[in-house]
Amino acid sequence: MNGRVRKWFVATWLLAVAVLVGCAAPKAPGAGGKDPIRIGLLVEETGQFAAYGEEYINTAKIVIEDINKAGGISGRPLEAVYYNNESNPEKAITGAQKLIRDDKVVAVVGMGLVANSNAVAPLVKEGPVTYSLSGAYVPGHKSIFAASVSVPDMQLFIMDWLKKRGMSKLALLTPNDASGQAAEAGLKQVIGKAGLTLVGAESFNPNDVDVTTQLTRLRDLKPDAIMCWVVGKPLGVVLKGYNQLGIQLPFVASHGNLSHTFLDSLKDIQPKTFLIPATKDLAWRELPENDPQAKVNKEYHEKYLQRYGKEVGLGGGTMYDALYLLADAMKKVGTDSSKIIAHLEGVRGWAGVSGVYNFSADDHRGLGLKDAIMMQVVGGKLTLAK
Amino acid sequence: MSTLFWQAMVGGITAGSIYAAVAVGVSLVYNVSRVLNLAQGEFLVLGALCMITLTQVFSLPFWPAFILVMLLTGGLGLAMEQLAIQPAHRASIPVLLLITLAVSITLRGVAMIVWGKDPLALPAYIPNQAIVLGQVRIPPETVVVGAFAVAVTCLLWLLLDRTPLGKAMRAVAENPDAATLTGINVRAVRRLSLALSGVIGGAAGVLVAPLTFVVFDAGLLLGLKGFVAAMLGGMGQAFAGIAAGLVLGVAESLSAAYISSQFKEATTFVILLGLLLVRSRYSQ
Repeated sequence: MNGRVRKWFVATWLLAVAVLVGCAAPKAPGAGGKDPIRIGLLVEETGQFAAYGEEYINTAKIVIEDINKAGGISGRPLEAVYYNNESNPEKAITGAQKLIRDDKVVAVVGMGLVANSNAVAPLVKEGPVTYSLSGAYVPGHKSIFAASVSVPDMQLFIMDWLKKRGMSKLALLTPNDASGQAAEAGLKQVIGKAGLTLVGAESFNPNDVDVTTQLTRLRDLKPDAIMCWVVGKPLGVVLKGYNQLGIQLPFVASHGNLSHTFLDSLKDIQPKTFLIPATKDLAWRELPENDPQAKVNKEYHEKYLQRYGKEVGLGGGTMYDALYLLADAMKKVGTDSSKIIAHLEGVRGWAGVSGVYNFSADDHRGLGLKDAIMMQVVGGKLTLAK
Repeated sequence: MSTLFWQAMVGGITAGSIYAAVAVGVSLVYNVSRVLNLAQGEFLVLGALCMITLTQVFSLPFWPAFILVMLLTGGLGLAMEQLAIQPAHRASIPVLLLITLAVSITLRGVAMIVWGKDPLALPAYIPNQAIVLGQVRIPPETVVVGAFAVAVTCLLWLLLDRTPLGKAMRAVAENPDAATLTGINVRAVRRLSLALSGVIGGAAGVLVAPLTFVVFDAGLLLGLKGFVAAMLGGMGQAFAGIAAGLVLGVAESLSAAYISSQFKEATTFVILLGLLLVRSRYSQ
C-alpha cells in the first residue's frame, strides 16, 4: 500500500466508525413531545413457537396504537421495543440484556415458551417488571408475572370436567422429550386429587411415523378417555392412528394446539369427540352478554379479525391482557418497577380477554380454574363443549 | 395371538416399509458410487412438500403432479451429483459421507425457508378408510408403500442384473478405473444412480406423506432409519434391504408393545450396534 492509498483507507475507516458511533448514540428526546414510555417485547417471531409469536406481535400493534390514540399514559406515548427471540433461550437472554441495558425499558413482555421464560427470569430479578406469556412457567420472583391458566390448573380442570361427565379412567400419551415427561409428572400429581385413575401411560418419539401400537395398548386398557399432551405435527400422527384404529373414546389434546389453522388441517382425521381445554376468549362468540369478559373479547377479536383477516388463537389474548394491565398500572403509579408490582398485586376482579384477574402477593398469575373452559373441535372449528 | 400383537405388526410394517423405501435409494447409490447418501431422507421430504405445493397451490391432479415431483427430485439428485459429489469424487468415503451430510443440512434449511416450520398435510390419495381384518386395522397407505418398495426393488434388480446398463453400473461400482478402460462412461453412470435415487425418494415421499404429516426436518430421522436398514441388509442385496427395513420397523413396534414405548428408539440402534459388532468379528 502506498502512502496515499493508506491515508484514504484510514480516513474511510474513521468515517465508518464515526457513523456507527453516531447511530449507536442515544437519540435525544423529540422536541416538544414528551418522552415515550418504552416497553420491551421479547417474542417468538420465528422458531417452533412462531404461530404464537405472530399473534403476540399483531396484538401488541393493536393495543399500543389504541393506547396512544387515547392519549397514551398520562400524556406520554407508549413505545414498543421489540426483539425476536427465535423460540430459543439463548436469544431470549441476549434480547433481555439489550432491553434492560441499552433500551432501558420499563417492562418486558413476551416469552410464551417456558424455556425462554426460565432463561430470562434471573436477569430481571431486580426489575424491570416482566410479564411471561407462558402458562407452563411458574413465576419465581417478585418482579415476574405470568399469563394464562397454569398447566397444572388446566389439567385439574380437565379431570374435573371428565369426572362430572361420569368418566373416571384416563389413559395418557406423551412425547418422550422433556415436555412430555413434565406433563406426565404433573398429571400424576393432580389426577388423584381429582378422583380419577390413570390406567396407563405411553410415550412416543415426536418424529415417529406410526403410534398405533401405543394407542392399541391404551385402548385395550379400556379407559373412558385418552389424553395426549403434545403440540403440533406429532398430534397429527397420533390422530391419524386414532382414526385408523377407529377408536371412539373421547380424545383430549393440550391447549398448546389452539391454533385455528392447525386445527383446520386436522379436520379429515379428527376423533368423534375431540376436546381441548382453553381460556374463555376462545369461545368469545358464545359468551353470554352479561359475562364480564364478553365486551372486551368482542372488541378485541373483531378488531383482530378485521385487521389481519384471521381468528386469533390462545396467544393473542395473553399479550392483550398483559399490556393493558401494565398500562393501567403505569397510569396510576408511574413507571417505577416496585410501584407497578405493588399495584398489580392489588388488582382484583379485572376482566380481561383471557379471564378475570385476581392477583395477590403470592399469586402473580391471577387466573385459575374458574377461567378455564372446555372446547370441542367439530369439523376443524372450535365450539364450547357440552 | 392377541390384537395387540397383530396391530403392532401392522404398525411395524407401516413404519418398516417407509424405512425400506429409503433403504432402496441408499443402497442403489452406494452400490454404484460407493457414496453413503445421508440426504436420501431429504429427497422424501422434498418430494412430499413439492407434491403439497403442486396439488394445493397449483391444483394439479394427482398423476401429473406425481410425475412432476419425480422429475424434480430426480433433477435434485442429478444436481447433487454434479455440484457436490463429482467435484470430490476422488475423496475418501468419510469425506463423501460428510459431503452428503452437508447436502442434507442445506436441503433442510431450504425446505424450512420455502415451506416454513409448520407441519403440512397431504390429503389421502386413496380413501381414508382403514382395511379391517378382524380386530386389526390396516391403513391403506401401508399396502401402497409396501408394494412400492417391492416393485422398485424388482425393477432395480432387473435393471442391475438383466441389462447391459446394469452391468455397466455394477462394473463402475466394482472398479471405476477398469470400467473407464472398457469404455463405460463412469460419470454418466454415477449421475444416473443419484438421479434414480432422487426419483425413488421423491415418489416414496409422496406415498408416505398422507401417513405422517410433513415437516421440513422429518428427513433426518427417516434418512437415518433407512440407512440402518440398508446396512442391516448388507447394502448390496436388493431384497435384503426391504426385509431389513421391515424387520427394523417390526422390531421397534414390538418392543413398544411388549417392553416399553420408552425403549422403542433404542431398539434400532441396539440392532445396528449388535450387527456391526458381529460383522467386524466375522470379517477379521
